[in-house]
Amino acid sequence: MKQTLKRAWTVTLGNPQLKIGLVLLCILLLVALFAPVIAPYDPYFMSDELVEAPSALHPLGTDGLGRDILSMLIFGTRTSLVVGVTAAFIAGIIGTLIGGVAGYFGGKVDAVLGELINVFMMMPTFFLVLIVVALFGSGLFNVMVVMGLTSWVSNAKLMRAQAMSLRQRTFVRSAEAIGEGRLLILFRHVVPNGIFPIIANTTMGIASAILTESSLAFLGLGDPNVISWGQVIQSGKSYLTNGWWICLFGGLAIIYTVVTFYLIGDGLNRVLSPKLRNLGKEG
Amino acid sequence: MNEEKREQTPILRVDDVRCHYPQKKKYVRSDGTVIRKAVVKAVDGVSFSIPKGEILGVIGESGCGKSSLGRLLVRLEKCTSGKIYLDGQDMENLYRKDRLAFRRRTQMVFQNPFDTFDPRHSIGKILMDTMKLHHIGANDQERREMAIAELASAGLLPAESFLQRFPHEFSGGQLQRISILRSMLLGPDVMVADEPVSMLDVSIRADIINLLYESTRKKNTAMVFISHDITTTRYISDSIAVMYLGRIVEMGQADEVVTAPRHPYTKALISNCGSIDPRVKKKAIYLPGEPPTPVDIPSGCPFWPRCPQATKECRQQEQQLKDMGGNHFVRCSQVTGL
Ligand SMILES: Nc1ncnc2c1ncn2[C@@H]1O[C@H](COP(=O)(O)OP(=O)(O)OP(=O)(O)O)[C@@H](O)[C@H]1O
Ligand code: SF4
Ligand SMILES: [Mg+2]
Repeated sequence: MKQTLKRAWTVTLGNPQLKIGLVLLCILLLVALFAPVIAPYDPYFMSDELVEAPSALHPLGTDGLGRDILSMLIFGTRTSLVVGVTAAFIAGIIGTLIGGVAGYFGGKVDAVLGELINVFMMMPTFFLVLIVVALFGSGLFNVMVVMGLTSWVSNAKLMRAQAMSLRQRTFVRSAEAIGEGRLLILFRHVVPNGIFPIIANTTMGIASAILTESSLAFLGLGDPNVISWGQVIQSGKSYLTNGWWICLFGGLAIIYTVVTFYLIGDGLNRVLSPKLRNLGKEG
Repeated sequence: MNEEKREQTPILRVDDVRCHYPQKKKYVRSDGTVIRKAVVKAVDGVSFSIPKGEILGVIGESGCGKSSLGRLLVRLEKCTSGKIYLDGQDMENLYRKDRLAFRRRTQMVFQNPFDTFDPRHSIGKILMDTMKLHHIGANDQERREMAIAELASAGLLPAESFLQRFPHEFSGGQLQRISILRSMLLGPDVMVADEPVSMLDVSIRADIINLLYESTRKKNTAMVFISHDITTTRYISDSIAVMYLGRIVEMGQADEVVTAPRHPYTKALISNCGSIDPRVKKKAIYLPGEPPTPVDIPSGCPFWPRCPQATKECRQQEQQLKDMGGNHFVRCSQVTGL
């Protein structure tokens, strides 16, 4: 175990994407964690300085309601992270289950689930999220769940391919021969041995969930009670000419986070798939 | 073999079993004709029985369906047709009624010991999970002690230190020992060993075969021993079945099949194996061509395209396994009884 960790550490250092991504993520986490300490103002506080350009008092300026942009962005980090991680996590679990069952069970089960995967692949996710928000309101919880429920397809396809190849492996057959049931084998052998690409993909999923949430907020469909980056941009929409900083810094925050998770996901993808199998072997 | 033993219900009886794999792709013959719904007939009408505690060797070229047959016997694969009886009871029923109880009665040792165990689990966990699944041992402490005792009995010492190790830290021979002892832990009636030493170093093959032999003898477990190696198979088996394209072409007592083969295919197979008896120099019989694919099995006797004794009749006439007396069966028109 200690060896595994040590080797994981060397592998991480050897992969620039992963290294940079993790450093950026640490910053992001620190900001989210210590938001009340770092933020110069209460993000909901409306001062009299409306649409103020960046200054010593307001490093990133203020928006149309006089709120401090920096503080809003700092608190928005929490929203983005929670939304992104939760939605991607839901998508990861659903994708793993559906893909694992389809790939390992095969036959008719696979045929049915394969169709389901195809149906969801065609579905315009963003449009679906819009409908649900329109029908059930724009609470953050709704948004997260809907995004999770509609974006598991890529995970399912990855897991299905993994399960189909693992099914042929001797250790899965020997587990069958020794008497383990199919569900037990699925969760004890197939999923743990095939999960790596899903981990990488889920990390990328966090990035796209954050983007989706921001897009919703930008369209004015975000949760109005929660500060989010999309909301910042939306509030800056009407001040593009005389208050460029509102949209600019909101956009930069989103880009920063999306790039962070993309780097980690890509790095994991390169590092995990072929090598982790041999972690112990060479370590 | 005494008469009394023969009259008992055989522990394993296989009755006209087939295992066909439907193919997605169509198959194009060399002359350009196409088979639309191609089917791989990996096992195509196999019947035999094994008395309790005896060993049947199965030999034949690569791709003749030995592994597929083995998988049918432990029900890793479902028979396309035909029945298998375990101690007189239909295996499919036994499996449906109580899967775990059925698994305790037939076990398999696989060809590739390096991939037999989940790479993420320690050997201790692997052994203890198996015991737990089959309700062997009252608690984890007891199971742990049993696992240690088992490892020690297979010569894996110091056993205690092996428990926390992972499969990749073992040699192939050690892994195959663990695989054998894990299967034997369940006290099976029938053990299927599918080329258990073909991936191992030559130097340790004999040890593994001996362990397999000793441990099945001790519990009076019948064994189906699948192999390429005719010498080893003869040494370990009571009787031998020779397979060609999914069928048994000859079956009889081990010594008889090896020293006095009667089917043209067996003759060729054994003549190509140098080390049977160095005192008797036999000329190797050359077989023209490759074995046909099990997708497109020739009509009549499937061996005719390569058989040195083939006649016109062989191409049309399907052959049955005929009793030549003395429990020797041959599937060939040119070989007549007694
Ligand atoms: N799951 C499967 N799907 C389709 N075809 C299969 C499958 N398993 C085996 N076959 C085919 O069935 C035939 C018999 O295969 P099998 O593995 O039983 O042969 P074998 O006698 O064990 O060969 P070897 O000595 O190489 O192990 C082969 O042509 C193989 O390609
Ligand atoms: S039946 Fe004919 S072709 Fe087949 S093995 Fe006998 S002699 Fe050869
Ligand atoms: Mg085989």
